[in-house]
Amino acid sequence: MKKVLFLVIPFLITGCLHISDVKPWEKGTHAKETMKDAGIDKMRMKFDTHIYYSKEATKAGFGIAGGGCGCN
Amino acid sequence: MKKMFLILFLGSIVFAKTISTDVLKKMQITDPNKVYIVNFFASWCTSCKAELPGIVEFNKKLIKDKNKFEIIGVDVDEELDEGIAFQKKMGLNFRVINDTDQSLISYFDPDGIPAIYYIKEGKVKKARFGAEDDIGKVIQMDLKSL
Repeated sequence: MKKVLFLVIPFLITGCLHISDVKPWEKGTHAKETMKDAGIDKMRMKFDTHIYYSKEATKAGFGIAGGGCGCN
Repeated sequence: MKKMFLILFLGSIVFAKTISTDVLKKMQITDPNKVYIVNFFASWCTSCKAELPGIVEFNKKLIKDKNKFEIIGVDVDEELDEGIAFQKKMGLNFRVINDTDQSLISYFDPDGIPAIYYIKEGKVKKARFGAEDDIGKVIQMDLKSL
């Protein structure tokens, strides 16, 4: 069992190393409306935010600033 | 030993700035005396949308110096239809290359888009990443400093 684990664990660790960074120009799909939390339904996003505000008594802190393309 | 490292380091900088002939051919960059201003953008990029009207305006002024300078747009949209519709909507008045396979932008490997590269004699003289408020003025200053 130990031998098997000894062989498998390095494979699992190095497997994660193959994940490469997403380049700025590869973020087209991420920028689509359908990739937002509430999808293309803007009303649902507003509704969710309203509930969050009511429950937590706080606003904002959602998403990221900018166009998502790695620029300023 | 130190000298060797310094030579290798400086050599790598010079080498990195030279663009391969294949890329130059693909971008139709042929005139060695001309400064090519290459702008990478995408339809989904909010900052590019904000910056492009400024480049269009600047290109109107640049037309009188068309023998010295040329703006080339590189649309990195993977969907050709989306890219062309965006270009029409923005009213681009310069040559645009549709880099749907994103091979050109991968070659240049900018830190972000929009990205502007100033190319002269087949070499990158200067690069700028991210949108600028007054892009016309910024390009003018960059061209003077080249």
